[in-house]
Amino acid sequence: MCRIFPAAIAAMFGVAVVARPALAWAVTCDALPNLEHSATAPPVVYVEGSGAARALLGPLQAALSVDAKPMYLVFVGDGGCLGAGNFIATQPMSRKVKPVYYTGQVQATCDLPATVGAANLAVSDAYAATCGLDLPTDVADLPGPIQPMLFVVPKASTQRSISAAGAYFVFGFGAASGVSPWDNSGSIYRLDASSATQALLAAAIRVPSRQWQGVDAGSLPASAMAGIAGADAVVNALATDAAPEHAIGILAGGDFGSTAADRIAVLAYKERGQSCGYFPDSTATAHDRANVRDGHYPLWGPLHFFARVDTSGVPLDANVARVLSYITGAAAPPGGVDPVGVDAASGLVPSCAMHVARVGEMGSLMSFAPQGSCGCYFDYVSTGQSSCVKCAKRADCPATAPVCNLSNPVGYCETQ
Amino acid sequence: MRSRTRLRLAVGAAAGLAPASCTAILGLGDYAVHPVRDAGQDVAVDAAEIDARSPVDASPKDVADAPDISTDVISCDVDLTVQCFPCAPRAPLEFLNGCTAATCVPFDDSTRLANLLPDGGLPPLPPFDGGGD
Repeated sequence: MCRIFPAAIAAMFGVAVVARPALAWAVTCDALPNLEHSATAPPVVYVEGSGAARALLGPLQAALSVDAKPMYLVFVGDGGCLGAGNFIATQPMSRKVKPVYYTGQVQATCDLPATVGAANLAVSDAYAATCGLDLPTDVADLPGPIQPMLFVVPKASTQRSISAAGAYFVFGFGAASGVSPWDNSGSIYRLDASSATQALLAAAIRVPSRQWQGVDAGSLPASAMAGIAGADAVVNALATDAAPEHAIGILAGGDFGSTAADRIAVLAYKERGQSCGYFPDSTATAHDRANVRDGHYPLWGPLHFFARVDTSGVPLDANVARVLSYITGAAAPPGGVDPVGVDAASGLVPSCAMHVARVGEMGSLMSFAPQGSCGCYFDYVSTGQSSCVKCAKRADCPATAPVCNLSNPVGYCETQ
Repeated sequence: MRSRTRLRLAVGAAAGLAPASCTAILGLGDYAVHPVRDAGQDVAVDAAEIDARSPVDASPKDVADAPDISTDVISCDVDLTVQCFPCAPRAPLEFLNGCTAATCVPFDDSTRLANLLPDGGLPPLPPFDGGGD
């Protein structure tokens, strides 16, 4: 698989992000410089949580940094459950990872100020309840795009698939798994208990997240030396394991970028009652997320954005409301950012491209036929082609796909 | 006319794609769709029923290469342990085992999992010892 990360995404969809290392000077996140269009300091909106949202938020961060109404969208990707927990409890953001922001479309990092408050917005790969959190009535859970969760192995591994029962043994028993070749606990790489990715997979394979065997990849000396954590640590651990055939790990789909794809491979997954294992995509090398979209690959859930709202469900903070309007599709993002294109390039699936839905974490699959469907356009941006009929007006469309969806840069005849 | 077209799409897509779907790379020759021909039925008579249970993913791409076998009727009552589900899925197992052109990769629990219980079930998790760190 080849996922494209913010620089390429932005270049594809109208925002020229300059992919450079973080700016060298230290700056605190609450004292960022004025932006191009701003005579005064633009607002700073903090988003804390799942590192897998990095690719999704990057193009938006870049576009907002040069928008006529600029905003600093600062992302603290410290883990979905950790971020959601801090937000819900109104606790200060963690200092586990360096916050990332964009200025003039250039990615940079900043330091949280000495006294830091709670984030303005949280993002998680899993429901609050999956993280063991109670959602208060003044916090809304707003679903974002769909994200598959992955079992992954080094590129050098010959393994191609795993079943739900196999994963139960591997991650529940470690060295005693009885599942060759995954029977070396030191080569079974997991995340930590603050990870919503692990929490969702824990629900799927029925091994409580805190009972997972194996090694927290972020705690490895090599990860500490490299200054990496979370998904980056899993990828690095897998890619450098001296016994690749024995190595296995987990990742969120949003973390499986082009760099990871060069070093690790996604396993097909066989669910209980399923006769065969399937990749998230139609093949091991495709990018279409076909099996997520049609229900053959069940390891998925929406990204969850948590925001404080009034009794009508409206975000209390106008800047948060603005950011959410772009993420949920209620408003067109600035800078020509194409939400469907960004989702596709980030390994995610917009709900308008799904044919199945579910209620709750790993809930039963059901048919889903979204209004304003975008499956054809998603095929186009994720694979470079679509067999659907292009259209400029409804009359261009056949009876089998009668709706000309013009909300995307290329119009396609969709089912509804 | 529309029903007939949809029936053709449904039957054609299912029959045309399903055999390839689950045999793609690993020779799962026993996991295939076997369309049931019911020569006595008028296609138009059952169109409504077939519409309701037709493959939802009969996209133009899927249908393009499907043969026109409009007189065939697919049975939706299949053993999902040996066949893929050829109709519009409703139940979770029907989604998971729907006929598809996607690659499938087997994982045989009975041979790969050494610690299954004699009845094929899963043993309880071991007492938690803090993980393997």
